[in-house]
Amino acid sequence: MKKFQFFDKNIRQQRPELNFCTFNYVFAEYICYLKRKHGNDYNEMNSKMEQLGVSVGIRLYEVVSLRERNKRETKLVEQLRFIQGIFWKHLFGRQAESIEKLKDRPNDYLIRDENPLLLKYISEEGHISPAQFMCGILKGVLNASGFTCQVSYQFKTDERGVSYYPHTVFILSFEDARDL
Amino acid sequence: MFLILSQDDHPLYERRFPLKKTTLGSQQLLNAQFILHASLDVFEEKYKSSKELFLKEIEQKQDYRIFGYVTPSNIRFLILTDQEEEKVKGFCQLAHEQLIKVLMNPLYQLGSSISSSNFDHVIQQLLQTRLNQ
Repeated sequence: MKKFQFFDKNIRQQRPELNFCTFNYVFAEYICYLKRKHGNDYNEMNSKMEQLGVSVGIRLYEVVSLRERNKRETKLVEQLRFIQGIFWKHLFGRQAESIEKLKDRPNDYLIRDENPLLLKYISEEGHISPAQFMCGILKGVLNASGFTCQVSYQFKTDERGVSYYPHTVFILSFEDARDL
Repeated sequence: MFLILSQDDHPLYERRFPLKKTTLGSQQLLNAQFILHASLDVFEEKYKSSKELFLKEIEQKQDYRIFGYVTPSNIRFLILTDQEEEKVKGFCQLAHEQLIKVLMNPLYQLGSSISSSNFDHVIQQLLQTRLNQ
């Protein structure tokens, strides 16, 4: 019966708490690996991080849906609420701050996170950021549930140029206007 | 017959099993795959408008019924059987959990067919216990 051990484990009840430092160690190693491999090619590094985020996002979305709530969402706003509330809480321990919509960008939604957990020990640098990984997670979840979109991020800055790092805003650009 | 389809309608997994109550001709058993794929249109209408995971009966022919189940990431299950709804619902939920375990494997490429023999064994066990096949 050794063959079936993996499939015998109960996936519903496990709620493991992971030490943040442990995760951060692995994540920092990954970023160093990308830097070694791609050097100054920022686009390549960003796209690799996003790819990783997408695959993590799809898998986590299934698991979180199974553990927290056994329903699907067909409307976009409900799905965004789920992401902001339950999903974010499951990943990072707290909810994201808000979902917003700008008047002059009808196809976009914003998710605001004032203190993203992943950026806690990482300083601001111009071109690349682990926020791209979080963009990938969001993209994975939304694409898997049927709303195709592109996700990018911006750090909040004032009109005067004062930076509020790590206050991050994730911009979700939806292609299909019917989803909105 | 039990069929798992991805979001883009690629078949991820197929398993045939004999129907219990009725004895269809062998020709019709071979057509099970064709019948299931033909019911995809009706299935699509139903799951696009519903929030539920288990979509109950999609179609009913003379001897058998087709049931549908959809996971949050739009992976679809289709079952052609003559069992009752409750049993099929129980089977689908357990199969969903096993599918998630396959998905969590980082070496499994999302959207490719499921070739794990352990998954095959587990589904076979579930079919035998839950659907009395």
